[in-house]
Amino acid sequence: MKENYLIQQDNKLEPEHSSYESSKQLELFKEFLSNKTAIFGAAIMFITIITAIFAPVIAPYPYDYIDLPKMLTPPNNEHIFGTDDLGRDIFSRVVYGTRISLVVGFGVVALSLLIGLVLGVIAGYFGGRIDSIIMGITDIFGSLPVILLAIAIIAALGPNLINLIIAMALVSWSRYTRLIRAEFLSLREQEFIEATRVLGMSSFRTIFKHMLPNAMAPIIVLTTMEFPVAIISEASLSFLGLGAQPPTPSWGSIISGGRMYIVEAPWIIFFPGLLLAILVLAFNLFGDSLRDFLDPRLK
Amino acid sequence: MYVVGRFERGIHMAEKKAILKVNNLKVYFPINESILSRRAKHVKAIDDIDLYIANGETLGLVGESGCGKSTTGRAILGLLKEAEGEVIFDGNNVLKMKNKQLKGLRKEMQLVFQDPFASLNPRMKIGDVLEEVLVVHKMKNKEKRKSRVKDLIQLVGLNEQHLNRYPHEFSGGQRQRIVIARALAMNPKFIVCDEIVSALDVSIQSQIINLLEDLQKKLNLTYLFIGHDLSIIRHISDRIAVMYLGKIVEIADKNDLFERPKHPYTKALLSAVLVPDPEQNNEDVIIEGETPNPINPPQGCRFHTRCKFATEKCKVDIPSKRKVAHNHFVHCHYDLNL
Amino acid sequence: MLRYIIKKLLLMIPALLGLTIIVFLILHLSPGSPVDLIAGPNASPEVRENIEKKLGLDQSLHAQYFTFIKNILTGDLGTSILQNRSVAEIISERIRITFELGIYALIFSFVISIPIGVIAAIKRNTMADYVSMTGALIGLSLPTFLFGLLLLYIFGYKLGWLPLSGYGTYQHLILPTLTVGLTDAAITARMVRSSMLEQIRQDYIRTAKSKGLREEKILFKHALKNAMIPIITLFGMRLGLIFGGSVIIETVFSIPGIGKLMVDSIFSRDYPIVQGSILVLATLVLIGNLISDILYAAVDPRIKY
Repeated sequence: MKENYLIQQDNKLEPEHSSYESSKQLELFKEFLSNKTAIFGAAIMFITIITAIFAPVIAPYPYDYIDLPKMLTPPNNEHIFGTDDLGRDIFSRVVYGTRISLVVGFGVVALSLLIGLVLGVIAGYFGGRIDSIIMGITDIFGSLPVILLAIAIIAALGPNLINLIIAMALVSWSRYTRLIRAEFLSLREQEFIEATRVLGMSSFRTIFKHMLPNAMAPIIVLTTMEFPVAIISEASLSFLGLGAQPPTPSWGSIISGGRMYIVEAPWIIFFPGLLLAILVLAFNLFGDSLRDFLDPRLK
Repeated sequence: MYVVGRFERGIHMAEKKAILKVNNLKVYFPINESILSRRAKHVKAIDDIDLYIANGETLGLVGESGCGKSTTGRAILGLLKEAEGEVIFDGNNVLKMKNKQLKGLRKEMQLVFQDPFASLNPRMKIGDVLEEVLVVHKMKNKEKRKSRVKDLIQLVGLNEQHLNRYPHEFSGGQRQRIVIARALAMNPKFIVCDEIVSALDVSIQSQIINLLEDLQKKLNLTYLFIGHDLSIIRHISDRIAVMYLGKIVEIADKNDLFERPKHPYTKALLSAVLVPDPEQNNEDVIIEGETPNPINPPQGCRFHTRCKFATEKCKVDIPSKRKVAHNHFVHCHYDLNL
Repeated sequence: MLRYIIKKLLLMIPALLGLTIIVFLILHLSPGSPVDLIAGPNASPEVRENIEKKLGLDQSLHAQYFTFIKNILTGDLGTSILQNRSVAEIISERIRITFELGIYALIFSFVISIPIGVIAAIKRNTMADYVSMTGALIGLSLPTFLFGLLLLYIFGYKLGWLPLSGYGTYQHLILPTLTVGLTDAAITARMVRSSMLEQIRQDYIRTAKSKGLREEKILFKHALKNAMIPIITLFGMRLGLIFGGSVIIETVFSIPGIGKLMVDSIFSRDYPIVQGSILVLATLVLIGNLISDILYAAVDPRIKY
């Protein structure tokens, strides 16, 4: 790359239209777009988001509409996913459930990213003592088992979705902090960051205009990879009864409610379970491709 | 121990017009080997140096890599919190400045970096890179900023169309021009050039050097030119300082230094340059051994471990600054016939 | 080596302290006082005061914390509110089950993931690689509880081969072991594959090839040996994670281990048991991490103590 530049004569100051680097980037991006697994992942994510937004239009019944005479009806034309023990339409509940998965996933990722950003930026930019203190705390949180810690926090705060988001964020931020700190530490050594000091720019401008934009790729990759983790955790905790409370139609709590009827009404578990697995798979596929495209180092 | 040096500086004419004076500058970087053993160890990157730079001149600073040249440049700019001593610029000590004063200083003193591939934010267009400096230094009027940016890019030999491009669309030499334009944005008086051509192809080096010389004439700039390529240093400098292991060993007008080096290390450096005459025998000045570790530098004269003239005195006493000719100072106990 | 182990042990202390603080706060942040739970809604103020004193709730928060720590160090994890027995005793009855299941699952996971990962790496970009890595990705995307329910439905109900839930015979252990082992293997196989690939790309493998050694011999004698280093160190970490995940698997299969105990106690609000079981499980996870570190030091000659 570098050699390539050095060979050319500097005194020709004509614009260099076909720059090697930018065309390479374009190529990579085209490759990413033609990547079938990435497209599949993105399509599923897109459908899920649309479903969540238009849930009231798509769902044929309200998610909490109880119809006892129709309890445990197998899938048919009227209830394409069947009904549960209270005669509620599984399809409608699953459709509304996308909202919970996405909102919780988004909430957990956003909150832990926020904590990770604040701490990681401070530790990585300023270094020294404050860095050792922050990383000491981060290491403690990072070494404790995620699900147990989340359960502990939920046990203390009481089981509901908001507390679940808080608990999950409190146990997930350490990974963001580590990544962002590491990025900032290596950026700090770069000459263009030193240049911001020489040119008299404030720390604020240096951090937000020069360092963060250059640290975005790995942060985006990590965020994409953490999203399915958050969705699985929500479902798992709701399954244990520590997340969404009835009649909220979280996929995890629908499955939890269907456990007792696994023999006579397996469809209660089957449909939300299948969709949960597909959505998580879609995120993982998309995340894997995005990582290969944006930041091969995380592989 | 610097009594003699100070006295002599007092009578020197050029110094009266000095734009920058450095007195007893020290930079010791602490190193903690482990948390458990907190012995106060230091890398003495710069150990007690003095120099001045006259208005409008170029002072060359040479030495092997790791001798403290770049650290000196950064310390002078007030970028190192470890720096001690005095760096007097415009009557103020840079090392004592608070944030606000430092920001003012940035308009006056600038730095051009070694690696033009790393010193520009890859995600900013060149026009934005240049304009940002003006925004930071409160040039509020947008029209004025735009026209200043255009002036700057032309000043370094590029044109307006380049402003809309990203750094990766340029060659190394072009990028170095952009970095120079960025340094010039606030009309500084003094620029530290830190090995600015060593990453460039030889054919391009001379273009950048010529640009620097043109700019110096046009804008009355003063340069501290840091490098290790003696032919370039000789070409661009008025005076040259030679550094070894954190200390300045010799400083003189360039021709004086090249023709009559007084320090054995300077002599060794000069003879390491390719000599056009194969008959000339310069074997006897090639230095032996490795550069000592700056964590644990030799006692006395730092060069004594590699100096073939070294005596017992050199192992004990630190040589002080000695005037050997007009504008020519050396840190050596002996008047050697090199 | 000993110094390294001691250093790692010392580094566990802050993590354990942080853990005790979180666990301690559970009792004090949780909605509703434990006094209500023991005394019932109609108790007289004197009775309540007595209970408060007995539980030490009349002391200041940090005094209570120090008592808590002191008790933990002497092996006293408190008394169950509902069962009126010592928490340590209740947990010790249950922990064996969790431990047993964890070890089986881990062994099963390694037995299948290492060959799969190695084969996928050697036969890179062939059908075998694609199939096994797609399988791993699906396994990664399937939440444990869902996979457990799926196996339960197929083998327990549809085929009727294995019992649906409970604990006692070895048949009871098969499905939970499969569930945890397979989901864990999905992650481990991916790691084995990339670790192996890294080795195959190394220079010394090329040197061996150019020396004319047979391909299989090179791969098994040289690459695998070095690829195993990061994999062996996974052992402790995975074990820790499996213990952490026991909460879910034991709920799915109604196994009376420490994880199920903990979840049940959250709902019955028997907080001393919740505290005790989180403390014990999390300590097991930390010990797992420690084992990983020590194994790494023991296996990799390059690491400095």
